[in-house]
Amino acid sequence: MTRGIYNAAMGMLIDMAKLNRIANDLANVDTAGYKQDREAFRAYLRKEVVRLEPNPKKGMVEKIPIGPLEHAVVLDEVRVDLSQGVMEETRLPYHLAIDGEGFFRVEFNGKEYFTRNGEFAVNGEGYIVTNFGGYLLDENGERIKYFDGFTVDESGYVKDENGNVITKIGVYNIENPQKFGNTLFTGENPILSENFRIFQGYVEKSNVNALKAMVDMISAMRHYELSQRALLVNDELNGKLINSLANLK
Amino acid sequence: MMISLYSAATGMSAQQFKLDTIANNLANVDTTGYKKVRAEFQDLLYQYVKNAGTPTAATSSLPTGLYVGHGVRTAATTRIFTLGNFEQTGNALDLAIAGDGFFQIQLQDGRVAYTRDGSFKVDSEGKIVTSNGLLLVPEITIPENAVSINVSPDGIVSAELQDGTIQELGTITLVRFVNPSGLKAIGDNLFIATPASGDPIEGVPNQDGFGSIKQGFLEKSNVDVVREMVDMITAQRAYEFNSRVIQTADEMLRTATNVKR
Repeated sequence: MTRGIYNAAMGMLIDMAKLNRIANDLANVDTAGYKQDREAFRAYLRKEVVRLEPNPKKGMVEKIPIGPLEHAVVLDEVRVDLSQGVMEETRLPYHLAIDGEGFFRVEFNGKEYFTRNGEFAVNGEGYIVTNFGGYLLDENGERIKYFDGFTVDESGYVKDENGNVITKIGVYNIENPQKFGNTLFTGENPILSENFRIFQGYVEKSNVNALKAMVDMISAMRHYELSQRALLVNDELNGKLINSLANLK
Repeated sequence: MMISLYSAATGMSAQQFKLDTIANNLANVDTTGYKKVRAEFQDLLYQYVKNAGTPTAATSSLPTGLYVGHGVRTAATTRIFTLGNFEQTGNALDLAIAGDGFFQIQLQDGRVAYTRDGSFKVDSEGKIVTSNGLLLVPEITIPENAVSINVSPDGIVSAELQDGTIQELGTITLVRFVNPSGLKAIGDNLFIATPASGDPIEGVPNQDGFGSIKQGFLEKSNVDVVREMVDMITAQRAYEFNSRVIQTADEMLRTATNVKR
């Protein structure tokens, strides 16, 4: 069939994918430690268009290139935008926020994850946990116990009332951060981050830029309508083709 | 159908839930010993088409993945146990805890509940009870011929009798929890212990980190009205954002329907 129909349909599909991303970002506009996504599209099925010309000297038909034609566009990748979120003061001693690079390291269900969500709590055994029960880990991979007079300085050192260092909260940079849900990330090769400050009694809110998301949504919507028009025009042309060619004698 | 429709719906219901907690905080803005609640959210699950780090060739791998998220969910409500404001009442049996700790209250079914609401009364038998008539633990009985009652910062309750002698009636002990945010609220300003809160640790006021008792004061709620109003505005806007997503998704579906005429 006419290529245009499929091209236009693919354009409509990526707008739907874009809206799905925007919907998730806006649903998480108030989720602590949430990082917004950005998507990248890729032209697909690049094909060289050629003209066939007989070459009597060689006794064969020669292919003369005209140029490339891209048949389709697809959603190629979604990447996390790790920019800083705003800080909300909660005054809870076990709420922690990272300003700068890195993730908290969390042990959940025997596995290790990374998170920027500092809405920690204390469980019945006195350990600092995420709000679904994953343990916050220090630099040595040990769980951290909460105690009276628990203070965390900007470098991540946990101190008691007298200023004695108990341990240091592990803040890691990771490769290929990948969202897991529950505001957790998985990643490879964690390396201790140095470029950060920790704020105690604060929570980092989501970094979703609602204005940009709304604008993206409008443009996706309009692009979708345009692609739909293109599809209809293609269809009309096909209709004309069928009717007029059938009458040709 | 489109994922975005459902993602946006989760966003709307999360913001509704947040508004519910704000409404309850504001309704209790003047409740003695009330502690505000904060809603916490988490992103839901992700559907991966391509994983980051998947090899694309012998020596290269995908730097980023391709995925779509499915919205948000309410993860927890955290009760924030910061101190409320103190209000002077001058009433001898109005007690406030300046610092950490809870009063122990005997429930009708024998269980012990905990509260920071120190507006105590005396029942017909002279026992110290809450506004609902529940007994304070440890039980303290005030003699009939008492003229005045004094509660020391360490919780020692004494009474001056008609003949001028001073009689010691007992000591109010407090309890603490490793994680007070894990306590379960059962209404009437009462909390009960849960596995998350840990076991109650009993102690004497003004010692070992327990707060001291202030007689003639009440602890008001720790709800910050300005803060709640700001949260309410953000909740409303977030709700609107999500409703717009639903509208857009709906329009897109209508456009798709118009492809076939």
